[in-house]
Amino acid sequence: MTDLKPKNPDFDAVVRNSFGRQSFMDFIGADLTQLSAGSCDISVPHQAGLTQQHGFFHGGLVSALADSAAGYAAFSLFPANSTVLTVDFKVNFLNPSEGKLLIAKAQVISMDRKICHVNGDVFAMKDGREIHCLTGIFTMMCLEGRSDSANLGRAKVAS
Amino acid sequence: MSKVSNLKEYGHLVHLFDSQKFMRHLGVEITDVADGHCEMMLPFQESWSEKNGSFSKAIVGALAENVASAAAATLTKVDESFSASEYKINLFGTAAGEKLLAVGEIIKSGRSLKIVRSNIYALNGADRVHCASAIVTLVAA
Repeated sequence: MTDLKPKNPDFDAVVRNSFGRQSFMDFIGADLTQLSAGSCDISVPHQAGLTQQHGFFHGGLVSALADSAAGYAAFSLFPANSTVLTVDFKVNFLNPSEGKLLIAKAQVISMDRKICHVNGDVFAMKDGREIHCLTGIFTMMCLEGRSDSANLGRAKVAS
Repeated sequence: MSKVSNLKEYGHLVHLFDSQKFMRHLGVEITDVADGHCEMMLPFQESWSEKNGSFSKAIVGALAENVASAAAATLTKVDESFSASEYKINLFGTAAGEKLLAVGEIIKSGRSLKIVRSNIYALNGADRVHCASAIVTLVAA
């Protein structure tokens, strides 16, 4: 089985700092609610601006939450001076994402030097019950020596 | 075909497995079955090997899809029929071992769709290495 020992002793601070700079997560009102080596949960409370025409959380939003959780579950295992990018993901929607709160839970399955495979699941809290809304597998890439900052730390190109 | 004692309780699965010549051709055996769950084993054959002596990834994919269909068949009613419409597989390195163990577990069993997670492990003596995961969507015919 994959070794889930963190290579960076400061992974907790590094991941939380990175999450704090994801403007989209801030925009939707998401919180990083659990973090350990190879595992991350992110939640978002319901608001009308996040829904589709049936009043359920929008599928793209549900996927985005799982993508961020999976990325940070992977990033927690990366060495210092590295960053993370999503290579691909495949998700299945299991039930409508309806409730007061959405929780994305990600757990690393496999990790080698460059590629990390992560399970992601999203649950909706409705009437005190957890409804399983989404399951997926996410492939994340470790970019060693690259900066976890805007434009991977490269000088910005004038737009 | 199998030494699993409760297999005959799952008529759909028995029929599915009997009718699938490809699985029989490979030498796949059902090793465990329960509601929403199926396990299969496949011993290695030299003729399927990739360059490093591991199982061909096409075999790993075939097994992942098949064990998912089998797991779905355990929860399929008499007049229903489900067929895989898509799957995506993630491969964690090489599938090298004496046998492959495939485990199919239903995540969601609906009337129109069944979603199944397949995990593939390479077995070497007492060693068990997780070498692939797939999510399979099955659609009612």
